[in-house]
Amino acid sequence: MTLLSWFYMIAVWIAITLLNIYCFYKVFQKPKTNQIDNSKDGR
Amino acid sequence: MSQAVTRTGWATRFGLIMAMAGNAIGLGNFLRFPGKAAPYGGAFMVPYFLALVLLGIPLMWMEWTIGRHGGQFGHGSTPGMFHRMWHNPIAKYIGIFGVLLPAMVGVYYIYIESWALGYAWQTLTGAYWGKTSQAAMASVFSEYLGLGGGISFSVRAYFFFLLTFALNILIMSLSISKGIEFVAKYAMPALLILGVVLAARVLTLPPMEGRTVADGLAQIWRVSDWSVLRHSDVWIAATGQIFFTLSVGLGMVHSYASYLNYKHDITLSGLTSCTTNEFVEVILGGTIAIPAAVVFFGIADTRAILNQGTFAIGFHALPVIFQKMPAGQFFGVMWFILLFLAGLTSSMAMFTPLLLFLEDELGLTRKRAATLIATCVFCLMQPVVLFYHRGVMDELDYWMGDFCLVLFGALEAVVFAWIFGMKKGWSEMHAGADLQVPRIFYYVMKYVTPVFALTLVVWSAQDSLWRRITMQAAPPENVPFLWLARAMILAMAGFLIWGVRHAWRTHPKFFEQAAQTQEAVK
Repeated sequence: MTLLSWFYMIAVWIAITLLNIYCFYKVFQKPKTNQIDNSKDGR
Repeated sequence: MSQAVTRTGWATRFGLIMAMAGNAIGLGNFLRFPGKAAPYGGAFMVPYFLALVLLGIPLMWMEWTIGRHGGQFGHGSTPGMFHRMWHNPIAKYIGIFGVLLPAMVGVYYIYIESWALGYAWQTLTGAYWGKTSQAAMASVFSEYLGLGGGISFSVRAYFFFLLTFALNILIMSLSISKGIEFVAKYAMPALLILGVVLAARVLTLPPMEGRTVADGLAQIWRVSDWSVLRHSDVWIAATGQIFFTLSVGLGMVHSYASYLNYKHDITLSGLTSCTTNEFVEVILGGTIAIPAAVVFFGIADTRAILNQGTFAIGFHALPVIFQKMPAGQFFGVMWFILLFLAGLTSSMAMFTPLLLFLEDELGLTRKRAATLIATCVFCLMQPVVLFYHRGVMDELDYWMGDFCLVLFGALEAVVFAWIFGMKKGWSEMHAGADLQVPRIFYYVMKYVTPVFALTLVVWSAQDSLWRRITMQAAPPENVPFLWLARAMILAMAGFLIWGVRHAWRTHPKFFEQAAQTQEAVK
């Protein structure tokens, strides 16, 4: 593993992890929308 | 037909996201991805991430949108959904792909999934302990599947197959919140914990004969030759992997999303399921199998193992490694349970489109639909199990899990962006959205995604279609069995074509009534 390869891998890992954490943070930020009301289900 | 609009849906958003992520996260994340990436090194990641951003994520958003849109009309499967997007008689027939592909993939996927369960048990009981070479483990694998005779059958493998099949049918037959959502809410966190523990174990492996974990990671991350990007094979491998890993182009995402309405977000939820899948595939999947194999066997042997096929690394090589590491039995059980959970969270979605097709379009009750599916699928699985060594599974995988998957993905991108209309699609996608997608994706979804997907269809066709149609690479003794696999596909396709024709002839009022209800809700 060259230094550049380590940097490449760590950068990708950090990017994916941060994006995933951001998405879950946004999901749980809105507790009202975290519950799905079945009675108003579209189907 | 009234039960279609009163069916209960997802209980929680977390459950929905876990189910969608579980649908995407499968055996491919841990077995297929490392096998595809390692031969090209770090250069593979360039087309891989380009395809993720330009093809995978946009298609995921399209599928969530198509699914929710169709669900408002009481359609839980793609024939009805496509009919709603494109008022052309052919639309509903294109939609058949979204029922056919997951069902036929499920026919062989459940059998592979059962191997993981069987190996978890064998590892726990130490059944293969003492077989410390790859050749010996290859024999164990053949023995487990009962290969060697006229049919591939062993009582052990069949027992675990029956167990896995029954579990899948049970989950499918329950309501979405009590079945799929319940399992996903527990199985997905468990899968993530198992994956993180195994990745941490591999990353802390001591060097062996000068070989380190870093040498293993280099197989996936070091760019030794950028010129490989000039060849189409790396692009086909990377973009194909994106389709496969995100489970787009299959019809399952549509069915899950059909339970949502316009108050429910789909942009953020779709992106969350994609990023969760990427975390598992790139970070965990890329860290476990290949680095461990390189430390124990060296680079040359690891490449040789990868050349033996997707299953060799998971079922031949890693069991040898577990026998050589401290507490290997414990980590071995974890590995196979991880594979089983990854498989289960995907396979339990595979018959949902067919189930909803039977319920929504043909008016069957859930019990009758589940019984019909269980019976038909069980019959279709027998050739896969008994003639595994004759290439039946491989043939099904090429047509259903490879070529047609990309073809359907391309067709749905075209229908969504060019026929339904990107303006309307963008508006549909953002109804109830918790995340405003950057405007650039409007143009990506309108121009880049359909063209990229169509190009991939052409590449795939050039690469292998004619060779596959004519069975050039198949041993002559396997040819009748490959025709059997094709007959199975055609039988299922024939049934679905009949089903669509029957439904559209006998229930026209239902569709118009649902359309009016939808307008009233809006």
